[in-house]
Amino acid sequence: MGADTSGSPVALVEGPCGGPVRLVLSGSVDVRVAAQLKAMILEAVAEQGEVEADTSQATEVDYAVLQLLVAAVRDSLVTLARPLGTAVVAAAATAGLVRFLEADDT
Amino acid sequence: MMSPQSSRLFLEETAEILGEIEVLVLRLEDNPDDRDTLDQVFRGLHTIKGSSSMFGFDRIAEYAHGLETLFDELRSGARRADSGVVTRTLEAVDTLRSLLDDPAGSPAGDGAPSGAPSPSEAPAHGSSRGDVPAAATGAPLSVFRIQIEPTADLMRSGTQPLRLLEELQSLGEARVFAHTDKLPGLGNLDPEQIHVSWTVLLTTGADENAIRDVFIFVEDSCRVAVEELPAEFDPSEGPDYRRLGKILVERGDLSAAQVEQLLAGRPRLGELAMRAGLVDESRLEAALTEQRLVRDKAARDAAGAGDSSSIRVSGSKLDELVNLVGELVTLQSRLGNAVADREEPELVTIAEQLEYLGAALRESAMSMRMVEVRELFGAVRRSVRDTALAVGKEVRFEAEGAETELDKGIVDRLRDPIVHIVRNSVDHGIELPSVRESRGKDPEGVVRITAEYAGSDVVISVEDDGGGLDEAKILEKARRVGLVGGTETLSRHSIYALIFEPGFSTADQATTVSGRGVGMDVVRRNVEALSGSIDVASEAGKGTTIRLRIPLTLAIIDALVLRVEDENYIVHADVVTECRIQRERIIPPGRTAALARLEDETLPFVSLRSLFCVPGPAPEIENTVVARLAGSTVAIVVDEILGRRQVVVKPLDEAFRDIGDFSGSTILGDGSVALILDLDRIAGIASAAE
Repeated sequence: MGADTSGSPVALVEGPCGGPVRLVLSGSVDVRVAAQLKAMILEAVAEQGEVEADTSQATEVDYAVLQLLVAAVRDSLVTLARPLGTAVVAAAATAGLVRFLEADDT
Repeated sequence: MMSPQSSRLFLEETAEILGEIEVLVLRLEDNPDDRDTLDQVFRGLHTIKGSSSMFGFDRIAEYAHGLETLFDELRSGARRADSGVVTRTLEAVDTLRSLLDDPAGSPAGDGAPSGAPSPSEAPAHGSSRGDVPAAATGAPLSVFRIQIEPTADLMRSGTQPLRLLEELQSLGEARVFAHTDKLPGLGNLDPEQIHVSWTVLLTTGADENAIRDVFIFVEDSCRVAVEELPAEFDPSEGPDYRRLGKILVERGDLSAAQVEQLLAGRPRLGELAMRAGLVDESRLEAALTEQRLVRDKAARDAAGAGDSSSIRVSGSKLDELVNLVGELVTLQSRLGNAVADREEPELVTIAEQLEYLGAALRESAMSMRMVEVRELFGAVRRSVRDTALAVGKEVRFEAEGAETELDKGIVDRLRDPIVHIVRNSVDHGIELPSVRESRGKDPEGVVRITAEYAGSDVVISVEDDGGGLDEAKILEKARRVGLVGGTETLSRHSIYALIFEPGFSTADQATTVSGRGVGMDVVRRNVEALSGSIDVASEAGKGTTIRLRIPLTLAIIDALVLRVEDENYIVHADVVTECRIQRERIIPPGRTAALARLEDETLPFVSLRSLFCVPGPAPEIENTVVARLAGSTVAIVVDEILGRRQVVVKPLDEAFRDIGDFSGSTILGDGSVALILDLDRIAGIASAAE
């Protein structure tokens, strides 16, 4: 199943072969959609149990979004799909938050 | 997407770290318990894992992670760095190198599994980015601790914390530690508020004001503490408990070894603090990094390097700089010529000052291309080890003069020839342990490589204490393959020179490492291509020394300028042994080359006028330049010999590279272009013409 094309930078799509639901971040994702992103994660977790964040299509991620992802990964609500998006990697490197990028598969 | 420049930097840096790891791992073979070496290898692997993961080179990260785990076990004492571990690690280093070369290891071609390490094995918490601007500003480096505690509402004012951190990183090398202990669970997290604080350790040439300027617009919504860390640190003193140890040793209550033993078993303060729940991991890591940065700075200062730092510059940019400096020197030379005829003292003074500055600039630009041969020696050491293992010999490697510097391009091109020579020394030179013992020698042989300056050259010698070259065997083989006539007698020097002939080998049996006669001819060709020379000395039963003499740089050469009609040509002055006035015609009209006697030898003469079809009659009196190359001698006939001077070599434009008779070009002081003759090629033409 492909990413949502409705224009929103965050979208939930079904995972392949019945796997965890996918949260797809695409384009520029920033504080303006942070509240929506948080709500989507919590809702998906409540309904599906597992959420996988696909960051590969995100071209820009601001601190608000990064902080949300850090909390979600730390709380084991979200795992990060590979390959990671370079925007997320770059933002994490700038913010000194690299570790969470690698702590999702355990 | 990662930029091509970032990708190139990552690959270069990783290759460099792998080279360092290789040398360190080889050191473990002599001292498998050396904690310092184990730590250094671990840190190198950790860096590779972290950076490759950050840039999306997942396969490399995965592989480095496996190795890092191994070295963690070695550091903890769970395993020992025996020869098997060393061998496997070296093989793994080779694999990592091949992954670097493999586009599939790059993010673009990545189809590899995630291979994400567990949190306990994850890379360093802090991240480091940014170059060191002090290199550009020339200012001395300081280390600052910057603690940033934004108010929760900082983002509501439109401020992006990432921009602030980026600005800090642009000032120097920044290690950023995010403290997430106050980050609430996702359910309670207000996404528009900031719940994290930071410690940034910034190594920079900028002053405190420049750092504070970063926060000038957020003073009301961000608490920022900037503190320059102390510049002085005496590593020999260490923390307090070490001083107590020193006192106990001085009083004779404990031996130094006992103190070390006690300290080794004692939990570190950081561990104790973490166990007590007093600090979290990110704060501890920030403190440890701060300690390391201050110590590193002290070490740099102590080594007299406190006022310098380094930046990575691509070779092509350096080439461009040298090229431009060459242009400048040429222009300065033209200016000098132009003002020489005028009686304008002020202009003459300016030209002289420009000449002085030009020379200094040229020297400085050339020095930037110089690198130590240390890394080359590391590759040699590895080769000695691998070859000795492969052929069942015991060989000790010794190196001297690793700090000797050569042009980077030359060092790169010397690697294969020298590795080949060393491999031959181990395979053919050093005897098997049993043979050495029967000859009253130490069963362990020695291969020694040394580098030293010799005028404008560097001499690199590879010496072994093996059986030496067997002159009779070399001669017999040479006669058998027709390289030497049946009755011809040769000097010892000429016999040794035969080992550089294509296809020549005296090995009774070809091995996987050598003995097929492929290689030493390539060694000679490569060395000559660097305008170097190669010389062999050997003593039966005692060993062989192969000496390479290489110019410090190829960018500026000592040249002899030749002229035919209005055209200038350049030859390397080093290979010219004789210049003669030629009163009689040696090469008949219409011919390019001829054999003729010069003193007591017969030489091929080549007329540049004929060779390059220069129109016009040759002058009554011509000049001859005799050039002796390692494999041949040629006499070049020209109109005039203009003299000797240093010239800046410029590569030929792509369009002219196929011509083949020239290896480069240069611009002379009068602004004219001169082509640099490829003497090997000219000598080949002379032989063919005959």
